[in-house]
Amino acid sequence: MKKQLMTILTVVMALVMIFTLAACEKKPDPNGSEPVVPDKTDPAPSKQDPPPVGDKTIHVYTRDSASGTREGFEAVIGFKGELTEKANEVSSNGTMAQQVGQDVNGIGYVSLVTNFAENNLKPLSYEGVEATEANVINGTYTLKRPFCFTTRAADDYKSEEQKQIVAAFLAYMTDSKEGREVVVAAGGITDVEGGKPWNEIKKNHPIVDQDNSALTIVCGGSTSVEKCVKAALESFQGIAGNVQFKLDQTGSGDGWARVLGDEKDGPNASDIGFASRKFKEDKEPVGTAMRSEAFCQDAIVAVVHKDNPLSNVTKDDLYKIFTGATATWDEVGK
Amino acid sequence: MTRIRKIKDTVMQSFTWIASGISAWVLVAILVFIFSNGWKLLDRSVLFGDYHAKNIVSGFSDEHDVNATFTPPEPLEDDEVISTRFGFAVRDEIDKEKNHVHTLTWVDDHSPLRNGKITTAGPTQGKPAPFKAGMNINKLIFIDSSGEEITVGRLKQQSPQEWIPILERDARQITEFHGKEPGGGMRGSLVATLMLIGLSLLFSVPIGIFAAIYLYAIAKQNRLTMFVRSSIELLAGVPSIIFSMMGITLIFPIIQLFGASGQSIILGSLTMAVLLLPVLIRQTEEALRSVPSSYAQASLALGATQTETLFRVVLPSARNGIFSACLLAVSRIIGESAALIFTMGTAIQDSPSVGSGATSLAVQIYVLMGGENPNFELASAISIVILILVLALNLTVKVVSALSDKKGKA
Repeated sequence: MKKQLMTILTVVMALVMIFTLAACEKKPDPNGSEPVVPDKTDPAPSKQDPPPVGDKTIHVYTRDSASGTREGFEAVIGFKGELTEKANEVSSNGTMAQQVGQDVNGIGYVSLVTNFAENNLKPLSYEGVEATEANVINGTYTLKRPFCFTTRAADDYKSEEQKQIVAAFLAYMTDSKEGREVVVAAGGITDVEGGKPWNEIKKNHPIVDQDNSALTIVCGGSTSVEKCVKAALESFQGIAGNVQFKLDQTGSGDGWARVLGDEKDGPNASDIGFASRKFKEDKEPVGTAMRSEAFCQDAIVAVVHKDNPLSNVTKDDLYKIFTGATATWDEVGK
Repeated sequence: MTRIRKIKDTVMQSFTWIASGISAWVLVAILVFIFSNGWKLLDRSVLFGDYHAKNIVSGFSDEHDVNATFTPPEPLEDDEVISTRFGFAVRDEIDKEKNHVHTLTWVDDHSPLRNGKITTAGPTQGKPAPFKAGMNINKLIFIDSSGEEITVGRLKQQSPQEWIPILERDARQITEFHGKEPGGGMRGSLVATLMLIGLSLLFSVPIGIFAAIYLYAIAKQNRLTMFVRSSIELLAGVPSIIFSMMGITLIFPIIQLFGASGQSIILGSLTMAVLLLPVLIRQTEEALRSVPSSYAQASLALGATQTETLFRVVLPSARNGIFSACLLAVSRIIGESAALIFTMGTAIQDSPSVGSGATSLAVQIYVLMGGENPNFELASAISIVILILVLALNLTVKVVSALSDKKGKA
C-alpha cells in the first residue's frame, strides 16, 4: 500500500515538473500554440481576433523590469511603481513592436530605431513633437534617455598611459565626428556634424600613435549602451595602436560603483562606467571623475496600431493610460 | 476485484506513457528549436572566428591609375554593387550580430585597394593591409578632383547603391580605408572553456581522489567521519550561484596574493574545483568500492602494506570509474554558468589568458541573450556545440564503463 502511494506521488511530481518544464520551454518558441503573453484580467478580445465594434478598451504593453527602455520611459512619464496591473509584459523591443502591431487597442513604447511600418505600428508624437533624430538633437522631443559615462578619478589609474588612452577614447567617442558617426550607425542619437575632426582632437592625445596593444580599456555598467560602445571601441582600436578592451556590462547600477563606488578596487574594477540614465546626484556623485557626461541619446517612442486614429499624446495622457486611470480610447485626451 | 485491479493497472501505466511522452516531446521541441535557429549559422567562421570584429585602417600613398577599369571574373549577383574603377564589389548584408554591413564580395588582384598599408600604430604598421572577400567596408575616404576630402560608406548611413556611384564619379585618389573582419565567433569562449576544464581538473582531481581514498579506507567509522561525509553530501546540493559568491569573497583574496587583479579564469577554475569536489569524491569512492575486496586481501596476504595495497592495487583497478568521474566533471564544467558569472565575468575575450577574465561557452550564451536585442541565432549555434560536446562525453563514459564491465567479468 505504502509502495503504491509512493509510486502515485512520484508520478504526480514528475508530471508537475514536466508541465512546468513544458511551460518554460514554450515561451521562446515563436510558433507555440499558446499566445506568448496572456491577457491576465481583461475579458475583452484576444489579440488574434478583431475586436468587436465599439470596444475601445486600452491594452497596455510594457517591457520587463530589467529593461533600460522601461526605466527611461517610467522616469520621464513619472509613473514608477504605479503601472496598471492590467499591463502585458514583453521581454524585448522586437516583441513589443510585434505585439502592439497585432493589437488594434494596444499601446506600448519602443526605441526609435524600430521599423514602424514593418510592424504595423504608428509612432505617436509626444507633446506635439514628432519623434525624429533631428528633434531629439535639438531638444524639442523630450521622451528620451541619455547614455552617460563616468570614469575613475584622474589620479586613480593603473598607469599614466592607461589614463591617457581612456581620455583619448572618450574624446574620440564623444567629441569627434568619426566617433559620433560610429555611435549613430550603432543606433545612438547624437549630432555628427557638430563634432570636431578626429585629426584635430588627436593632437591632444599623442598616445594613439603608439603601439597600445598591451593596454586594456575596461568598461562596465549599462547593457543598453553595449552596442554603441562596442562599435566605438572596435573602430577606436584601428586608430589607436590596437588598444585592447573588455566590455563587462551588467546594468546601469554597476556603472558608477565600479569606477567611483565601493567596487572600484575590487575584482570588477573598471575604467569607464556607463548608465542608460543620468547618474543620481545624491547616491552617485561624479564630481571626482576625470570626465563624466552624456555621449548620445536614445529616443523612446509611444506606439499604437496603425489603424488607431490617435496621433499625438501628452505626458499626462501617457501617465493616465499607463497607471490605468484612462481605460478606453474615447477618454484619451479628455 | 480483478477488474478494478486491471483498471488501476491501465491508469497507472497510462500515467507513465503520458509522462514519458511529454518529456520526449519537450526534449525534441528544445532540440528542434535550437537546431532550427542555430544550424544555418554554424560554420567554420562561427566555431573558430573572433567574437569582436577586427578593424583594419589602411592608408594609400601610391597614385592610382586614373583610367583603370576592372571586370569581375564571373557575372555577379543582382544585389552586388560593383566599382569598376577600383575593382571591387560590395553587398549589403545582415551579419551574425544582426547589424547591417557592407561585405566585400570580390576584390581584383590588381585593385588599388591592395596597395593599402596598415596605419594603426604597432608592429604591423606599414605592412600591406589584407583585403579579401568577406571583409566589411565601414567607410572610404577619397580626394576628389578639386582636392577636397570626402567620406562615403556605411558609417555615413549610405547604402552601397548610393555610395559606390559617388566613389566612381568623384574619386581621384582613395586616401583611407576603414574595414573590418567580421566577428560573431566563439573561438575565445571555446579556448577559455578548455582552459577552465584543464585548470579545474588540475585542482580538483587530486584532492577528490585523496579525499575519496581517505573516506574509503583510512577514516575510522566514527562521528567525525559521518560529519565529513554528510558535509560533502551537503556541498553537492548547494546551488552554484552560492559557490560563485564564495569564489569572489573567499578565494579572490587568496589569488590576489599571487598577483591576480580581478575576475579571471584561475578564479573561475578554483571555484569550479570546489563545486566539482562532491561529484568527484562520491564517484571515486563508488569506483573504489566496486573493486573486489579479494584483490586487496590478496595483496595484503602477499605482505604489502595497506598504503601499498591502496595505491598499487585498488586505485589502478578503479581507474575506469575514476576516469568516468572526471568526464562527468568535465560535462558539469561545460554546462555551468552561474558559478562563473561573478568569478570569470561576462566580458567575451578573443584571446583569453589564465590571469584575466573570459567567458565559457555557457556564459557567452548568457551574455548574448541579455540586453535589449537578444541574439537567438548565435546563442543557438553555441548551444549546438555544447550539446554535441556533452553528448560525446556521455557516450565516452558509457563506452568506458562498458569496457570495464567486460574486464570485470573476464
